[in-house]
Amino acid sequence: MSARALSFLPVLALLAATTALGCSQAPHGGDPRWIADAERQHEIADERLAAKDFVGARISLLPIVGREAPHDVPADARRGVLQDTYFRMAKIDLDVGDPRVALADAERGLALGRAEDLFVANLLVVRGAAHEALNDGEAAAADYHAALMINDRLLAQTLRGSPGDAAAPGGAP
Amino acid sequence: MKDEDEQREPSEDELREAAALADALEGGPATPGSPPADALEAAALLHHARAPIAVPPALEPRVMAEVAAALDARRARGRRRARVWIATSLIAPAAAAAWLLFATVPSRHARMSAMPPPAPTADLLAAQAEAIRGGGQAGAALARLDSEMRAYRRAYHERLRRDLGGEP
Repeated sequence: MSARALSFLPVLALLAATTALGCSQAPHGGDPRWIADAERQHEIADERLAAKDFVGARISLLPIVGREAPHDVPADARRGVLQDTYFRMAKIDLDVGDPRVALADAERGLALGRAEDLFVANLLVVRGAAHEALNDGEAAAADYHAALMINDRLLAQTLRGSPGDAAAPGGAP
Repeated sequence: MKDEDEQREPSEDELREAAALADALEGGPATPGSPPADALEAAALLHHARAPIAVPPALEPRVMAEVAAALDARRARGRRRARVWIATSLIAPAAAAAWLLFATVPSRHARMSAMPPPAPTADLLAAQAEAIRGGGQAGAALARLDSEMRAYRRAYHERLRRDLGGEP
């Protein structure tokens, strides 16, 4: 390699480093878009449900769980959005009298991870209801009990006004 | 005194010695009337200083081997210096970029992960508790839970979008 070519190396390396740094500092365009897309799909589902179009509502939610979520979305946020969508799909499955599909949807949602939060509790509730519809009282009781434990803790936190938790608008704390 | 020396005409001997010295410096044949010995030595030294170094044929292979080894070592040093220079010029900016990348992006994610979702309202938790009871009223309780979840969901999505740098 000639000395002339060598003299360009630091410049090129610095350019590459600056580009990489710029990319890391740029707003992550995919993240808010993914959330905004999910939000829009839920709004469509709301409209379909208002028109009693259960199948259409469920179909409108499928893109959220069908597409791979961007990796730069924090894991907790990704889990929350996806588990909430699975809860909603399972609820619609129960509404149309399909507890087996509801059970499968709830299982998929719970497989994304466990935490003592609202989303996991909702999935346990809907899975319990699916078990109940399938006459599996024991499994239903186990799910309801697990959901109740989380519900109890969340209620205590809400009444205590735990730090960092701003109450969701539209309701009393 | 000095002026007198300069103005004096050179003697015949001096002219002869000067001509012999000039011949010796040019490497020409020795002229009669040889110059003094010290002048000849000085002339020989000056002559050799200008002439290329001549290696005796018997020593040529040894000298060539030593010169080749010295040149190889010099080239190797040059290559090593070039490699160090290339590596430094690539590694230093890359390390700086990597440090900045890892120091800024994970901290943003950590901030996001540390930020819990909005606290559920008491009404939402009451609807969830009602659905947990199951039984005959499970359908209606689940419908109420679903309805309460809509406002919570909107707030949750809005917060996520804001935290991820999107429009509110």
